[in-house]
Amino acid sequence: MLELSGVGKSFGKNEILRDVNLKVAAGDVIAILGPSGSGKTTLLRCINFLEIADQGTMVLEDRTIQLPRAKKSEVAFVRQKTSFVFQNYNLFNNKTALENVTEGLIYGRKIPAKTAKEIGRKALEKVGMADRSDFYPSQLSGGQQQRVGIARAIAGNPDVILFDEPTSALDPELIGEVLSIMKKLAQEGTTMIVVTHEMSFAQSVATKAIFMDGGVILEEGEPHEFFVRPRHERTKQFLRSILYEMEYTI
Amino acid sequence: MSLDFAFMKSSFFLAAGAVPLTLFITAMTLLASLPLAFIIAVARSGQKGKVLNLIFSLYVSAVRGTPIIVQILIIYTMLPDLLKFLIEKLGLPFDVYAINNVFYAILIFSFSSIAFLSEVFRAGLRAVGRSQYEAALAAGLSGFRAYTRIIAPQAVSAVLPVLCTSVNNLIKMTSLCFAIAVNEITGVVRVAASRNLHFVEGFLIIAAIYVLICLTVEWGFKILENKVRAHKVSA
Ligand SMILES: Nc1ncnc2c1ncn2[C@@H]1O[C@H](COP(=O)(O)OP(=O)(O)OP(=O)(O)O)[C@@H](O)[C@H]1O
Ligand SMILES: [Mg+2]
Repeated sequence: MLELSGVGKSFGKNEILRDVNLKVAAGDVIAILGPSGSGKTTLLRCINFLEIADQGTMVLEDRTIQLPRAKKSEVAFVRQKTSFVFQNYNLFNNKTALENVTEGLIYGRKIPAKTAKEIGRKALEKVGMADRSDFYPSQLSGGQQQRVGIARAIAGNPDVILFDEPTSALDPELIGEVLSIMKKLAQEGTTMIVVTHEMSFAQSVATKAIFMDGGVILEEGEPHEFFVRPRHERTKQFLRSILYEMEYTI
Repeated sequence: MSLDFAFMKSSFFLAAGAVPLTLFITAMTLLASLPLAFIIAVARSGQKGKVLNLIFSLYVSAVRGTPIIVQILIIYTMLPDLLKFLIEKLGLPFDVYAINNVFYAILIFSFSSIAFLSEVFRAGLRAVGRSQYEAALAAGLSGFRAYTRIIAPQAVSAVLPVLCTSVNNLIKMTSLCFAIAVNEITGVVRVAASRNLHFVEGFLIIAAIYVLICLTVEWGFKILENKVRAHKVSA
């Protein structure tokens, strides 16, 4: 459904992504792991054209798109078919929870306002935020804001949802409420690419785990293989350091 | 010193009668300069446009660095001739000297308002930040919609207090119109006062009228601010 090949991206002299290839099938939940600065966020941003890749192609549904030379219509197509959940939520501060969800439906997808509102209410209900429809982001907790962020992402019924560390800005006690919604979405067959440091989530929910380091995909595999018998030395080191951190926080 | 209350009363009504013209000049100036100032601010906050940035910063410095009365005199003495030249070149059936001075006043005030309002909006845009724009794009909004629906409302509400000051400054600025014989508040009372030399009474009345107008504007902005308070990021 979504296929990336040969994606490369540099900022000035720094090569951030190098020959990244990724195949996503419907229903996949792909967990991307990797140390800070390895290019995980940049990869997601290149998929959604928040960053323009220097090399690479994307196949989405029946279209093949040259990432560095995407036309306006192609960018619009990709943004209709994907959605983004940001690390810092990035809800529209001047819009209520419901308006945050409907804004993209009405002005991005040209859905009539009345229908958009119905869709928006359903999406908010799904993330348990129906009773906060009329609240502004500044009136919501971090966890609640991210749940609205997820509602905004699912409302347009995209092919793929891109999550960039959706829980890493949250207080520990609020992480669970967001992860459990993501788990529910995964069980319903939502296709997701999730950059995360939540190992237990990656282990139990993902259909595929990917380890990135220095802008390349070093290793990928099914979670039970990936976590139990990582092949690459760097992957082992990384998993050990994360597990150590987890024990440390416990 | 004794005040001539009868004259004060008559000049109050005289001044009140000129309030609509003052407000008209203010409103037309704002109508012309608010959108233009915002567009300039947006253009200047983009990554591109180094030349554009230089041109506009020179413009802003020029406007800021000259007294408004000097701007009025320069534009008012230069513009008619310039317009006349243009009209004759284009062969338009149009008499430059029939143009009302109110038109020149609006033009002059827009010229300076665009400069300082664009600075105000630039500060507002900086307060909103790029992530809101990216979230709008990711949600499928066009760049234009992202600005009109998400960025602009937040940028404006961030600078409402400064805008209030700017509007009040503009209203007070229109009093300088007397220099080009426009009969707004200051002009009409000044003429009346010069007839019987009751300047003190006349000027006190003018002051009172401006205070009333500016208080009303402030009150209006307070209501607006309360309306948008919920949008403001508290954290
Ligand atoms: N706009 C930019 N300009 C210049 N360098 C950038 C830009 N965005 C990212 N980088 C650099 O690219 C590298 C990869 O960044 P990226 O955000 O993709 O890493 P990440 O894997 O998401 O890290 P983290 O786990 O800390 O979020 C970093 O070294 C970063 O400094
Ligand atoms: Mg990142």
